[in-house]
Amino acid sequence: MKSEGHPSSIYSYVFIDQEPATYLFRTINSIVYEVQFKPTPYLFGEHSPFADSIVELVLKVVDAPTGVRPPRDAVTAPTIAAIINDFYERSSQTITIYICDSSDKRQKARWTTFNRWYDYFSARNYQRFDRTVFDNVEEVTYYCAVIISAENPHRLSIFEAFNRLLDGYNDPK
Amino acid sequence: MDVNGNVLTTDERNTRVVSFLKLRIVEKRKAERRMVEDYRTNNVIQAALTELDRHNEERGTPIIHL
Repeated sequence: MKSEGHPSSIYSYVFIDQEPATYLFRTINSIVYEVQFKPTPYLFGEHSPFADSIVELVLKVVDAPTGVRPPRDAVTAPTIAAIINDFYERSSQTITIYICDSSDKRQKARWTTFNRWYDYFSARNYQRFDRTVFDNVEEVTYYCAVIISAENPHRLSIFEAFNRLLDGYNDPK
Repeated sequence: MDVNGNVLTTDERNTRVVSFLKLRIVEKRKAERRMVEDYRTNNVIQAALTELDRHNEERGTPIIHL
C-alpha cells in the first residue's frame, strides 16, 4: 500500500444523510459526481457478525455538460478519498467492498482509477485487501477490493470472510 | 460445499464466484441508473446540490485548498 501524502486541494462536497449514504460534488468542469455507500449486508452470508457494516462503493457521474466526457482532473481523486475518509469518520467499523464493473471490458482502466483514489489515503489509517477472479469461460478478470479501518478489531476475520467469498466457499444471495 | 453437503470442485467454486460477481455488477449498474434518475427527480438531492453550488459561488470556486 502506498500513499501520496496529504492532497493540497479537494472539491467541496455535500453529504446527504439518507440510505444509502450519498455524497455529491461538482468539478471545475461542471461535472457532478455522486458517491454512494450501498448497504450489502448479505455479502458475507446472512448470519455474518459484520452484516450491518458492509457497504459497496458506487461512484457515478450523474450530470455532465452535453457532449463532455469527464476529463482527467487532478482534484477528483483526492476528493473521492476525502469522501471515503469522511464516511469512515461517521462509521469507523465500515467494511467497503469495491468490485470493478467488467461488463464493457474496461475493468482494468477502472481498477487503475480506483488505485489512484486509494493513493490519497493515509496508509496508516486503512487496510486494504485485493483479489482478482478469472472467469475461465469468458476469459474476463474481475478486480475486487475490501477496505477497512486499520483500527477495526475484526480485520483478520473480515479478510478471511472476503477470501472465502471469492474462493467460492460462501453462497451469498 | 453445496446445499446437499457435497464438496465443490475448484471449477465449480470458480463458476459460483463468477456468477456472484456478474450479479453484483448487474446490481451495481442498476444502482448507477437509479442514481442518475434520483439526481433528476429527488428534491433532497436537488436541494443539497443547490446549497453546495451556493457555497461554491460564495467562495468563487468549487475547490477547497487544504
